[in-house]
Amino acid sequence: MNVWLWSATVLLIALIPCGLVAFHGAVEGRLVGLELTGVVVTLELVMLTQGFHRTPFYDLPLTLAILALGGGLVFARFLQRWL
Amino acid sequence: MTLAMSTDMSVPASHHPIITGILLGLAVGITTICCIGMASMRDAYQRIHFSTVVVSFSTTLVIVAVWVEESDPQARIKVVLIGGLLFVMNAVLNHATTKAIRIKERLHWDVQPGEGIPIVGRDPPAGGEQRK
Repeated sequence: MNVWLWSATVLLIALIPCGLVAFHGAVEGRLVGLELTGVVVTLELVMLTQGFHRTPFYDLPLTLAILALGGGLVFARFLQRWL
Repeated sequence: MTLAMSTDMSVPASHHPIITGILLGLAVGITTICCIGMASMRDAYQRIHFSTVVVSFSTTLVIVAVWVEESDPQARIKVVLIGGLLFVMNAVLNHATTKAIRIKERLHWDVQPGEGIPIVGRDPPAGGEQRK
């Protein structure tokens, strides 16, 4: 394992509080936890891609960054109108 | 004609392990502290600030680490694109989320007189009287 894979492994710890917030409490706090989870998972995928030296895999965090924006906006709009 | 395909699945070592390790250690530390801080806050208005720190500092550190480590221009451009997207996305998403939460709680977006929020042009500045 190189330093990228070690960092990706340690970064998994950061997902625990994000998951706790996303699964518990008020719906507003859950949405915020979900948004931060998207950012952390994007960084995680960047580290894994660089750790395995597979440059084409950079499309995965790039796609996730775009989709996390769309998903967050949809959830925010849904929260504003119907919840 | 044979199609040459790499079957080497071993993980190559880092070229600049110390510099990359420092940058990634800082990025992972900041991210972990911010996630724990986000979970320990009281409400969504306080929690929403922590993603900005992660996007601003951790993402920048990871981008610098990739640029130090990787010589492939495709990887460099893509990681900068990812960082830029996260940076812009976070600002837009935070604003949309906060607006949605406020409208959900108060059923309106505009500032009302009883909320104690000073409005520029209508209320006097907090420091004292307005100049005449």
